[in-house]
Amino acid sequence: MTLLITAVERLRGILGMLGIEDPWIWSAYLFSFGLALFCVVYGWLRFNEEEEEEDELDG
Amino acid sequence: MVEAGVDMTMFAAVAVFYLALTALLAYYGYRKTLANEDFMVAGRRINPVVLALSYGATFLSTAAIVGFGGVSGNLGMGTIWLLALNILFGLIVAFLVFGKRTRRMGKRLNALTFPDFLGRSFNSPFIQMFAAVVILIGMPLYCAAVLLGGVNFIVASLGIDRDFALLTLAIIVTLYVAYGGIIAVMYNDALQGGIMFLGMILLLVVTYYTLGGVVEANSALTAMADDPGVSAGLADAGMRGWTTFPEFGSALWWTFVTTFLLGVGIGAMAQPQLAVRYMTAESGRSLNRALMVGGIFILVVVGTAYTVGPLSNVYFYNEYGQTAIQYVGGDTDMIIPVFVNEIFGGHTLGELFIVLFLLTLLAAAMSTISSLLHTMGASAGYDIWRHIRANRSGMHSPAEVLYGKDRELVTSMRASRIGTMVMIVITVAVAYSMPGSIIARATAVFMGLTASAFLPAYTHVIFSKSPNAQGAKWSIVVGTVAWMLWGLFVHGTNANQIGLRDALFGDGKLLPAVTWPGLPWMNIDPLVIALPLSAAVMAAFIIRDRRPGRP
Repeated sequence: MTLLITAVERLRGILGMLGIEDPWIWSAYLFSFGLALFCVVYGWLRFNEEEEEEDELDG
Repeated sequence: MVEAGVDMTMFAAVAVFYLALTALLAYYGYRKTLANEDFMVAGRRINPVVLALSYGATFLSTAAIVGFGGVSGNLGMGTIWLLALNILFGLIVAFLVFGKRTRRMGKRLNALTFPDFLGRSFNSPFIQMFAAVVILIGMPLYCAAVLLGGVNFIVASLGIDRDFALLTLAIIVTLYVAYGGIIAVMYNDALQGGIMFLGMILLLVVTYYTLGGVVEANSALTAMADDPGVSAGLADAGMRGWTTFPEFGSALWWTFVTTFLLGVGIGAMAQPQLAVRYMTAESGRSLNRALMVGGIFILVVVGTAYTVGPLSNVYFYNEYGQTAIQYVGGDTDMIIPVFVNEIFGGHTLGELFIVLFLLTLLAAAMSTISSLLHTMGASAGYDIWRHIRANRSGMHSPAEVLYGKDRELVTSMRASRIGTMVMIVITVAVAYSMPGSIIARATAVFMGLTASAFLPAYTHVIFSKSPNAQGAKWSIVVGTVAWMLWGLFVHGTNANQIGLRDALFGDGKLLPAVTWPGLPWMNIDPLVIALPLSAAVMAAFIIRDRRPGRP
């Protein structure tokens, strides 16, 4: 827990140095970058994955 | 304000080159469009990169860049949460949850439009018809807002007549949508998406470079909260600065969270013009690949607009001692166009950059307008026309109305083209009657309406083995009616701009003093009321029909 708080404080310090101090704003930036990264990693890992044609909706 | 003055020769040269490419892709689409399935869903075999860029360029238009970029310029970086929601719901959930199932079901049902998909899934001609009508009522407003976004920038950059710009843009897009179908639309989207991507990177780099670097620019914007400070009106509403989120529970906080974040963030999942793109994918693998491109695309395009908008305040304050909204005379829709002209105008090759950015916004506007027109044309010419044809031919059973005959499908492609042309006339008429600072709000209105009407039924049908048609009908009707009532009569800004409430009840508020339990109801978006109601109706029917003893 202490480690987590320290990490958040450090992150806050680094992002505060970028000129944006409100955690509500820089966390939105971080979240957005994280989600975009997820898109890239997911698409890359499943680049050639065949979709299951067996559709559960067809019963 | 800055004088409009881009070198017309340079603009003409770039525009001719761009329009030649557009025409080439339109011709390609025209040649490839042999059947109704080609016109509607590109034969279900579109390339993943084209799909991703088309989805992104349709999703993000001048509404995002000019409309929400301008709102960010006025209200600050809180809109970055909308960027996160755009990627989370508008892309990841949309592609991985809705997209894959919609593609499979759309192929199995041979559905060609979003109303067609809903109608066939529930085996209900009523749902197809009602969904098409909701689209035809709500979409012209959104399409007109996007059109205005493009026109505003043309006017600010070239100083040409607003009416001329509006009509020219409308005619060019109509021609390639009507003749090239969705193949022309999506290939042009991809070209336009590529231009948008490069243009927005350029804008971000030039903005930070001009303002002295990332840290300097952001710090200067943060410092503006104290000097000169936000206006008294915005401070009373809950704004604290351009790099801080509005005060929790304030009127501005409610508008931010319910209209901009929820309305547009969640609304993106039930967009007819986006849902039809899933049905153009060849396989689920195409959607995985498209996700890679789409994530980066949205991050760059939206992230730049919502960052540069607020930073424009630093520029305008340094140069003219005014905030962005003061400098443009109060119209948020002019912040980005004026800022781009100003900031590029001060650099070497500035005019070339302005022309390139003009092209970026033209591309952004055209990609979305073309998709909206295609959706409206298909709703009018395919979804509604086939009902009229079926009635005339004495066909009344759901199967006859929904599936028709091959001869009628060919006829409906011609009807869709005519529908496209009729809808652009209506859209241009709506655009003429719109006030200033309308682009972001009109976008939120349309997305809120479609989410309230369709999202619960759409979500139910893609997960259910035995879709509950009666529940879906009531859910769609209740969501639509509840949204309309709240939007037209209670929600302050919408009701004021539309004017129906005041015309019927006089110049007053229907819920003037109701703040119980401490909520400013007039600032709460219709989506927050209508979507839970629509979902509750859907859930109630599902629970009722699952009880033992029910058929």
